[in-house]
Amino acid sequence: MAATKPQGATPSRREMIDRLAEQRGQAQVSVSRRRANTVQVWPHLMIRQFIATVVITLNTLLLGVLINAPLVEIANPEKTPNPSKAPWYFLNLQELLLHMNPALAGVIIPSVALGALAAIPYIDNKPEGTGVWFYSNKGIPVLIFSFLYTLIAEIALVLIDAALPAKQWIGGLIRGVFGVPKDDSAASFQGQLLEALSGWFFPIGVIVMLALVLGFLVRLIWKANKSEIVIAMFTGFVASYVLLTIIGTAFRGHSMSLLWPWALGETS
Amino acid sequence: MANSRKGLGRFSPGSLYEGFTRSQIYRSVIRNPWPNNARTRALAVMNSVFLHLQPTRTRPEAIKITYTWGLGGISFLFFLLLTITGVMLMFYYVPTVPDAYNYMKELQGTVSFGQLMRNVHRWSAHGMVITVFLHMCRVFYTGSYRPPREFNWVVGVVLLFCTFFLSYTGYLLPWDQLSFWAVTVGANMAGATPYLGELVSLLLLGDKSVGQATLVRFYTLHVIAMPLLTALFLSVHFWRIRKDGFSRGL
Repeated sequence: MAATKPQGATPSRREMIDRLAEQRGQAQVSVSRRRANTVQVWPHLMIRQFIATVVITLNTLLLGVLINAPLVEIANPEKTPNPSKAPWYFLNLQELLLHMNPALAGVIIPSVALGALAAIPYIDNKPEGTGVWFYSNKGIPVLIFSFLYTLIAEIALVLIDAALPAKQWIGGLIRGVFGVPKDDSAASFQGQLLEALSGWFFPIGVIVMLALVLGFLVRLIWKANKSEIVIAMFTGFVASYVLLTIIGTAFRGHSMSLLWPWALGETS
Repeated sequence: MANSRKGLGRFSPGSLYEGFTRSQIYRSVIRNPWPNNARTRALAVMNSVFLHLQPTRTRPEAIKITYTWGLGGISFLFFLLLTITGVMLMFYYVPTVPDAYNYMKELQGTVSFGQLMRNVHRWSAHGMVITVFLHMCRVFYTGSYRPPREFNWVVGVVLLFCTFFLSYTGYLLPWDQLSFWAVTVGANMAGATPYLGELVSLLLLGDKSVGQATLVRFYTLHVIAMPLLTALFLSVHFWRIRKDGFSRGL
């Protein structure tokens, strides 16, 4: 068979991109020419699928044999555990809840995130480079930079908010500017202004600024085009998701206070 | 070959097998010849209800494990494992408050392999959420969402939401403290929706707070409504891969 293996050593990224572009052009060409570089699905793909199935099934069975799913005491609406945590894949949202208005953290940001995810192919819509990992030479450095940038920025934000909560200093600012005594009740003008600023404007401002600065830096350092900026944004999203999940799992203890993992303690 | 044994009679070595494979029963079930050459193997893929989603030929670079790591397929495998273990669990679980918890205890203590089914179900659920997320990352970093595959990416985002929702609805069913309060936290977040908050909360919980109505609602969503919806979107998702072409050809 002419091509059961790619010719020569593993092709470079550039070669791969060119080869795939050529293949796309061949869609209008005769079947026999397109067939020339193909192999049979049975056995080549089927054997890979079979091995993957067996490996994953056996490993899951093994995990199932070794580690039991948790089952604590029966549900009791009168007794709230402390801390009361969401399932791990929602812990990142619960972490956001601690820093901004609940409607913003729990509804608007996830909806915008899902919407932005769905919109990606309509923003980055040039097919050049499809089918190759990190389809440009700048792809990997942009990814690493975005990942580290997001990690550092978010850890800093969580620590700052733990040391000096936004509600506190914004409240102090309002009282200073207006020269009024403290009145945080929800109905008062001061309370509503505080909520609007610390719960909405400040968090939205921080998130948007961080994203814009990331895009700006990536553009500045690597002269990134649209594709690479999209890589930066997506990597920022993935890094946020992972980091906030880790913080929610391992660093939030009683009353969702920030603690070292070994000091987390039991759920009461 | 089979024909060369014509003179040997009914009870010679090999004739039982050949007799069976030439019988009407066998030929009515298995329509293709044994897949041991290029033609019969292509036929086996093309004529099989389960396999004919795949093409009969593909490019070698498309099936390199290091390209996709098989993440989409593994996600689907976890979905199948979850369905099978889920059905097993359904034989012994009833969504009543507070008996649901006792059914869980029975499943774990009395039912043969009940603990194993539950554990595999739980691990597969975690596995599916993780693999689906990694699959999304793979598709993104290989640029496999670009035209003509945009719609398939959108279907994929819908499937991501389906995966999370399936996991969330399933989380309530054991009816222990973890379940109850985790779902309460999630429902409070949903109830914070601007303007529609109360309606969303009522739609989700079936009541003012998590209770019997919620359990039945989540059970129905978890065992039939969401799996059907997910299967529907999965069909479209797989079909689009064939129609748009796999990102490395064919």
